[in-house]
Amino acid sequence: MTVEALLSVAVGVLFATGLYLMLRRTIVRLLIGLSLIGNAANLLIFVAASLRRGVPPIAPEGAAAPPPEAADPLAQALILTAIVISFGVLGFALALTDRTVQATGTDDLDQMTEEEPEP
Amino acid sequence: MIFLPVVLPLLSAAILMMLHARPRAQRVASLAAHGAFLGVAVLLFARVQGEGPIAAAVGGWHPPFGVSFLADALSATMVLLTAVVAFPVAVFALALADGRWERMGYHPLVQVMLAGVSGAFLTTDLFNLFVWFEVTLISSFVLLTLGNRPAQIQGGFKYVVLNLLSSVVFLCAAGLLYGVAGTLNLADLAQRRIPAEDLWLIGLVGVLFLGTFSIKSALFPLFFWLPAAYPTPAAPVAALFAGVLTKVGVYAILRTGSVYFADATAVWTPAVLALSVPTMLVGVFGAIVQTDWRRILAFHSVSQVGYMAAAAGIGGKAGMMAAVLFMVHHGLVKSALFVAAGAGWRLGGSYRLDRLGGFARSHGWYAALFLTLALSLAGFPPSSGFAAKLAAILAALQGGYGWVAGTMVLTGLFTLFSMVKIWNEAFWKPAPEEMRVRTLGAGERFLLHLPLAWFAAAALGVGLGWSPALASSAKAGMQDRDGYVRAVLGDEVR
Amino acid sequence: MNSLILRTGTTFVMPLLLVFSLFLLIRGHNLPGGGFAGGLVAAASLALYGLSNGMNASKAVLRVRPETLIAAGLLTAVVSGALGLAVRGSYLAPIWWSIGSVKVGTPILFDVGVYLLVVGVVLTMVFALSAEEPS
Repeated sequence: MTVEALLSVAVGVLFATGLYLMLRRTIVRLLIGLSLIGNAANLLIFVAASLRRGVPPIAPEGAAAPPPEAADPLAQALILTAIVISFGVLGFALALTDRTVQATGTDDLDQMTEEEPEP
Repeated sequence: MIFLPVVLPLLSAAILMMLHARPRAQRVASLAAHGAFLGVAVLLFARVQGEGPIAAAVGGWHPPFGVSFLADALSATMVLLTAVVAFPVAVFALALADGRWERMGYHPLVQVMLAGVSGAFLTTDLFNLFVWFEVTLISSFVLLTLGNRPAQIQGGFKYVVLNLLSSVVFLCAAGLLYGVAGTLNLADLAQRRIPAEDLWLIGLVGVLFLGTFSIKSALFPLFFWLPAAYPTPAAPVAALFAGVLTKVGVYAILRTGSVYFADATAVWTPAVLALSVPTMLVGVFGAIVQTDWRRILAFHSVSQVGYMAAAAGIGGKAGMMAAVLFMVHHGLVKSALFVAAGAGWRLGGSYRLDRLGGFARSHGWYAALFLTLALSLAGFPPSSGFAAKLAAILAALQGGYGWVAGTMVLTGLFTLFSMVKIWNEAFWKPAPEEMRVRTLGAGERFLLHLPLAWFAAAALGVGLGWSPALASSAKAGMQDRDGYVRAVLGDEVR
Repeated sequence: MNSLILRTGTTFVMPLLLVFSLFLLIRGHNLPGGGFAGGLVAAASLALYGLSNGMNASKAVLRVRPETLIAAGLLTAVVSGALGLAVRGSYLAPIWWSIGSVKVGTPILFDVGVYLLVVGVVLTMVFALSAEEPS
């Protein structure tokens, strides 16, 4: 119970920090914020699918199903998939950030209005 | 059979990547891959219409444990639409191909995107839907920034950030829903009883889902990424995105609304309408002040997504039919108009309307095809736009939402205004002094006109043949929640 | 980066890392590990080589373009799934053979595909990020 409460607080802190960083004008902070929010979401799934200690979801020899108090493997599979995806997306976003800074010569998001047509 | 719309493009992507060093072979292979995809989509559609929904489980793990795919009338129609849009765009890409974006992987990425879109239309599992969204997004990120122009990179950056945020929201919604209901299979969810003390969590999940889908389909408060991103990429990429990508979000609203939130229409419908009605107006007003051909079209895409989402939100049989008809109409016509804009850029060298002119005299066939398509977008009979708008307005009136119907009529008027503006500027007024019209060879002229003719024929065909098509879709059980559950979880899993 | 210590160290560490990545790939059959983890380790070893000896040297060691690895991996993974579709009527359905006491099947083929795909994707990113000017 206490672990769940602690993790919930951690999720909240991660979301808040990530959102704060995303609202900054520097492009790199935006990216760090995005990755923090992604991790917060993964942790949220982990907590929402209920925490169990020490019983891996593996069926014992001869049994048809794992013991009922075993941890939920599906939530972990979801998180694993989400981590892999966010790894790929973040890699692309990093490359794009690099290109953006090279192309515009600034890391200030407020000055990136190139795609607006000139008046 | 049902896996082919996903497996085939992935296979094509791998083969096209192997052909990297040989652009000519790659072009032929790309056209062949699009043709094969179209063939598979037609076969799937015909089989669903003939035999009813087809379900299958990946790896033989039956639902609700494994990931399962279902092709009912709605999914099969969307896959068919994707293929019908993608094929002429591939032809159009051949006309513009100069090897520059091909070297950066245009052909394989399009195939990966098609696989992602098909997967999103066919899956029955919400987390799997998330995965297909990501497959689509990653390939579309790269497609959008092919060419590395500064405007592209900046438009792409906005697209990336907002879509990543919406993915995170989706992930949270899926995680919470799994925590409450213990499953993410849409059919299994629809038949689970949620204890009354947990219902508020389902409400929260609904808000999160609506939020993420509305970002993905560019609904009212968070739509700015679309007009920032869509006017920037290579012409075929813009055409493909306008036709296919916006539909994925609307499809998700339609599917979750009709299957999972079917009992909550009292909340769901006003929520969707509150997002979609302002979308219609803001999009169309945004278009009025634009002078760039593709920016006008992009703002119109926002406005038209509003129509689709409104019809989907009203729901019921009439609303769903109208939403599907509108998605088909918009997929065809908006891609076609982006193709037409690309052709204008090829001929006149610009997307800016003040630098174009005189196409009506210099390129008669091109002008006639554009006019057909523009009038279809504005909703003139007998085109698909007329059928779609009529269906949407009737659905709104039937549902008792007179003000929504009124907004739809008003938006249609302003759409006509923008289309007339493009016509007057690019086609009717005499060509400006500094415009140098490029003369094209017969082969390239053919490749530019063929996609437009294909789209115009399809739009007219949908406009003329819509009532029989609707009736047969109704037979295949498009809107039926219990039918969906039976089709996914029933014994006849093939 | 020009550091003699790093260069010398990499010469010893890189083969070990590559062997370890193959170990992870095969161990993933029944135990923690698998194509994704193995691919990451292999890509990390090549990235390390690139950091110490220059990315062009790393590209030379790789011999093929990373895009080719992506294509090969995607092809292997999709085909291993399609075998299940052809033989057992369901995409990704596993097919197993026994060689002595060891069971070999299409999931291993799938993992090899994932391995190649991950190496290709990660190296594409590393090479793109290390490029000075946009190509």
